[in-house]
Amino acid sequence: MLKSFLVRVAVLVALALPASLLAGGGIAANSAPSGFPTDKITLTMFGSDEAPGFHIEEGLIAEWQKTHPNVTVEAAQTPLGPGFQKLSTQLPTGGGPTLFAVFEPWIEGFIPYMAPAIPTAFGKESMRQIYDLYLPHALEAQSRGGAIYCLPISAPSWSLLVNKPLFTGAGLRIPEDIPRTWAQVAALQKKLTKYDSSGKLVRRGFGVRYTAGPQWYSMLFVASVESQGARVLDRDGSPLLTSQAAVNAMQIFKDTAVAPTITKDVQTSPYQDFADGLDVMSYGGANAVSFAIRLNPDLKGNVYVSQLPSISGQPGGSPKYSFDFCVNKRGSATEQFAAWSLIDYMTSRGVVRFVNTGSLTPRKVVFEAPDVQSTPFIEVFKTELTYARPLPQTKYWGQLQGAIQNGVQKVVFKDVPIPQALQEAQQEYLQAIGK
Amino acid sequence: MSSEDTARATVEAAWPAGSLLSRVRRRWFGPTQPWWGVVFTLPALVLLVGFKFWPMGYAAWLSLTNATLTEPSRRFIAFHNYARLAHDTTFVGALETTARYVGATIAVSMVLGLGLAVLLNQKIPARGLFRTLIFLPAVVPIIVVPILWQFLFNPYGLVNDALKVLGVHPVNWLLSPQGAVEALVVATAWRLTPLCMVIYLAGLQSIPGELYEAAAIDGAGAPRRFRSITLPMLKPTLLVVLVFAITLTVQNFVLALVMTGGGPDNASTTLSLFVYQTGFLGFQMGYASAAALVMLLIIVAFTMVSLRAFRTEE
Repeated sequence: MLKSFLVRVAVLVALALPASLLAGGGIAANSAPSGFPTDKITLTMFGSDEAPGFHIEEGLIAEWQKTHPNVTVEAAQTPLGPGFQKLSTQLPTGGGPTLFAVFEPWIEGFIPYMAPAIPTAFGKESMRQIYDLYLPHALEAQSRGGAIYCLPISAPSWSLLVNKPLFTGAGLRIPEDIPRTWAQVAALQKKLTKYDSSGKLVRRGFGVRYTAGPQWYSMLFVASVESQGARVLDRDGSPLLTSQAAVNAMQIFKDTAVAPTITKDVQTSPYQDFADGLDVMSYGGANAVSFAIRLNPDLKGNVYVSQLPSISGQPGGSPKYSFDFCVNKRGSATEQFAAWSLIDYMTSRGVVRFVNTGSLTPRKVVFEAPDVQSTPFIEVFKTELTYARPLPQTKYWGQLQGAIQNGVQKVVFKDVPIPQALQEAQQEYLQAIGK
Repeated sequence: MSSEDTARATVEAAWPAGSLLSRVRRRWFGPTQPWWGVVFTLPALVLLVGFKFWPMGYAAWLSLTNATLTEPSRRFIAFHNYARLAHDTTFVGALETTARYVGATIAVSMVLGLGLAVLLNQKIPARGLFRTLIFLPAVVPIIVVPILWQFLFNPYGLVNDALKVLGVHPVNWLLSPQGAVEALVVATAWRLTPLCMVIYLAGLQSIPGELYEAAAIDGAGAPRRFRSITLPMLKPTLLVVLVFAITLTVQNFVLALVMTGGGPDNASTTLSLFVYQTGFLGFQMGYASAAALVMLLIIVAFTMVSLRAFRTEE
């Protein structure tokens, strides 16, 4: 009798549990509200560090709150460096803001503490539909196992920037003589480099930014390796820095180096040499043009933008990285829902950011806006973003970047043979990650 | 009853006689400290433990684990991190660089600081103005210092222009292995020297003038007075300056981070920069904690050597 009763209860439970899960859309979806929450919610946020970017976010948050009056957003302007340190200590200990901005290489490290996107917060039914809002391959670095964990608010890839008067002043034609390969850039160096009577460098064809942070050449190295169909890390994360593709990529730095120590580029002003007219050609994202024009207004209308040179001359020699918004998985289901809804709104209004800062959000709707479509060279930036290579997703990006940085510096500043420099970089990386 | 007996009686009345607490109190705080004195120290003690000793202890524990910021779980690995440090060429290189950087910076700052202090301790016109002007670098925000020197050390910057005027060949300061460390030494000494000078000045002003007057009457010249009076009397001050300069220089990483980023090819990676890069760029908190603890031990060792070397009779 008792046994029969227990069996019946067990069967009922077995039937009721899946039914309730199905009704709610599964375990994961069950925790998220189906519509926008109506209870009072407070979102804390680490926002952008740059003054125009943060003020734009404040404006967008205010717009969004008009339709979501039950949500209070406490946004703090957070410089990336200190923000990284705060997140590094807060997230593993269960703290941190509800939503926060990250630099793409941090995603792999912070992924255990991030919540995946909730399609219903975007008014969508599936993750696939969120992918469809973006340019092809735009969310590769932000995805794990088919789920999106962050969304880019700014996704620079690099293009070639050319100072038109200086380029044509040297007897070169635009677009015919614009270099498509790094070998062509190296060849143009001789034609464009000038010294004054005292031997002081006054002009250079192209300059790599060796003093403005390692990312400016480490990322270029990685993208150049990957543009050849090779990789810098294998699937297990072991380094592949001694491949022929790596040798070819390193050759770029050796061949294009002209007086590399002569520079005023610094981290806070990486386009200084281009703005000063020392470098006739430079590289950077869509925001680089507006940055350089802020430094030297005479450049307005005098910058030509072209595909970043590659080893083969084909598109895809540019790295792609992003600044993203992510959601803390420690937030409640309603907080996560509201946070994704806010991120959806801010990224969909990427045109506001572009108009004010020149930073591109790789969301399709942004490229449909008249303000963006009328921007000179926008198709170049769009093509670059489509073909550019995302950074390798590794917890050891800091170590990889450091090893590549030292390898490039050995070749450029100490004239170490390329194979030796790459071998040492490989060893340094392994040592740094404790293998 | 003597006053000492009165004090003892008062204190013994305040503490339960013969209790464990009383014995602990006597050992730690001395025989004349009443119990409520301990209460007054408690807030400071809590802060000290909470924000200094507990984090230090926690770092020591982390150094024995494989803790990383990317993995919530961590495993005890005993002294593996320390063994790894011994074989890490970047760490060993950072040790060598730190020794060169700290040694040169302290030598320059202490000698120059002492010279300036002696000079500005004389009765010279506009002495206050000079003291203020020379002290200015010490109050410049720390982040401004490397940015300022980055421009000065540019190949076409003021430093190389000055060298050219003197007929010296320009130096590739920030992007050559030798120049990078020298540039860091100059920039750090520029900020540290005025701080040393102020401490020296305080020490100099505490030396009785009668000693100099007596020595002058006995026919001692300025060099002799400096050697036989100033230096011996300044011994405690020298110790303070030395310990202060070692601690500040070993810990300083902002200059290396901003001016050279530790490059080229790790040539200017100091110990503190190594710790920062390993912990906050490489996420390896256990390994970084081990390196930080080695750094702490080095500072403590140097401090103890200094204490012994500059020990006075007092």
